[in-house]
Amino acid sequence: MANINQTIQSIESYYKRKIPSIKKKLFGVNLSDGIVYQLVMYLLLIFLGFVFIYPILYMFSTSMMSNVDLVDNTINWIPSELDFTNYKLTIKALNIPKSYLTSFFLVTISTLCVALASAVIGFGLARYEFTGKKLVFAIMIFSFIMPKTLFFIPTYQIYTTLRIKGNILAILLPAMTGQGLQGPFFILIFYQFFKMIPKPLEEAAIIDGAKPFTIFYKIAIPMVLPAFIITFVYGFALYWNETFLIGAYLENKFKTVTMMLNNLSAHYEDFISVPGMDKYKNPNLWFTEAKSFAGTLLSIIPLVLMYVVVQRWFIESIDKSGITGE
Amino acid sequence: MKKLSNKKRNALTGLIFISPWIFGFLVFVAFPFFRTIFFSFNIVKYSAELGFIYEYVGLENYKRILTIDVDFVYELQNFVIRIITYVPVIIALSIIIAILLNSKIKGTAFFRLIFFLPIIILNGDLMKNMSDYGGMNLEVSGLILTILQKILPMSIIPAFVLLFDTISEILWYCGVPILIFLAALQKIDRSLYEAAQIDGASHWNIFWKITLPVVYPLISVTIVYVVVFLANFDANPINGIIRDARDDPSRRAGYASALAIIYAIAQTFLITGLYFLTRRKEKGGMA
Repeated sequence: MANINQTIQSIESYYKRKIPSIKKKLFGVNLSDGIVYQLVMYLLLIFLGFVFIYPILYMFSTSMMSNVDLVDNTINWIPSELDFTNYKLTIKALNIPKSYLTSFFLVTISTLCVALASAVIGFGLARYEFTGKKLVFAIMIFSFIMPKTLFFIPTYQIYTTLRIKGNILAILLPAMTGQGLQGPFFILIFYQFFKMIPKPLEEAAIIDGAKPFTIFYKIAIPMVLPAFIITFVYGFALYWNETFLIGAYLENKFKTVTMMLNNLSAHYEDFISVPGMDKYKNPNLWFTEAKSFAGTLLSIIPLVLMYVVVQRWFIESIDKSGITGE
Repeated sequence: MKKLSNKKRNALTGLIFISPWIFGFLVFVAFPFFRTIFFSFNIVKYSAELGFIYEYVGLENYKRILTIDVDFVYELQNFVIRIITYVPVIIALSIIIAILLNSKIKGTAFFRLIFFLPIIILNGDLMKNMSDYGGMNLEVSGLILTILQKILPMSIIPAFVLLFDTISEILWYCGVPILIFLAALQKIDRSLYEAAQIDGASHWNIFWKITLPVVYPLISVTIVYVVVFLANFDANPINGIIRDARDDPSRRAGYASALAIIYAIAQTFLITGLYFLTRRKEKGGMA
């Protein structure tokens, strides 16, 4: 009996020594180095990431399916064969190389205007004292909160009277005066960055006889590169994705890729109703969600590529911005 | 040239720098704002010879919108309900994801890439196409539903199914909120966590006493951003109604202006309500 008790005791003491080290491995000494903790983190991230990416996967897989696959109940995710017909047809229907170029042209110029205007206005607000500055901020918050539809009807009328409807100026004029898409947001970004420039630097330049505008573009501008990056990336995406105002003010004179996508089914029917394309003979020519998804993916591919290239600088810039300092 | 005092010259330079904004404000905000109010009390017609013709009708447009036509009021109700249900979920999910992305594990850069993607690619047609054709909802499969029915009271099952149906869509609106919260979390000194841990604080305590107080003040700002974004989003049917009303021969610009004004008022109420509901109380709270 005594012998058995001894053995049990020795086993117990062995595990008592062993268990803490297992526990340490699983839960860690620090907050974030236990295996269990890391596992939970990863599982949560992967789950949320999957839910996040699910619509894109779904769109991609559907866009690769022929119309025959679409109605086949046995096919859920994997198309029966690699089929690029949807893309080939949609590229034509969206008029792709040309609509990409139109988008690039319009969006780049608009974003440039937004960046320049926001820089000038943000500099004025950040570095100079004048009465009414609080009012300016109040108005900016007001115009940020108001829906764009509130200002759009009279603006449309102004453009009709001035005859610049359908002219690129209809988009550029608000951008150049800090009233473009989410204008106050970009001004505030520049404001934040200009605020961070140390005062003595400016004073030294003034003593050396620099004029305000020289200070602006020789000293201030090079120091707020991150603000430009944020504005270029985010502004580019905003203007690329805008269809409401571009559609209304430019009256289909600029056929950007998102505008084309907006009417994809109509463009598709136009394109398909040429001789030689008989959808009653070839069921794959009917307009279905596969075409719609292919078009959607095609419209965001340039943005995704841009994002993948610039995201490192973009995120770095946001880290520096003190975006949360309000 | 007369020498101006330093202060005055300073103010003048500032005004010169913001003069583009003043011009833009007058032309694209102030003037349109009053014109919209003026339009909303009129029937506006356009003829090629006479230009714009205004016929004063008083509150007629408003009466028609609120008591006769049904489309706008219905969509506005939907919008308000959507905001009130989406916003808490968006905020909660964004805080959770921001905390996950801020944790000291490998591969967060990759996940950051994924979660920030919607900031760039989110547009109205993308959202519309995805929800029209069912790409947006993770279907609750039979098995999960049975499990849910076993462990949850019957009354909240529909809410769960709804959550599954909309979770992808909601997550897609989380891009900028995650970014805001993450930026705040990254400012917390890591030694603060370590100190708390040495004092014997649990994860749970650390979350409530350190993480949340840092994030909380940003919630109201984030809500304003989310509501403004959703309100101006191209996939929002209200924007479509207002745009189409302008071209509709029976409605025209006057009617559309009244729509826009009601919408703006509703949105302002929503934003100020949510803002003051979530704003940090000045007194008390953390030291």
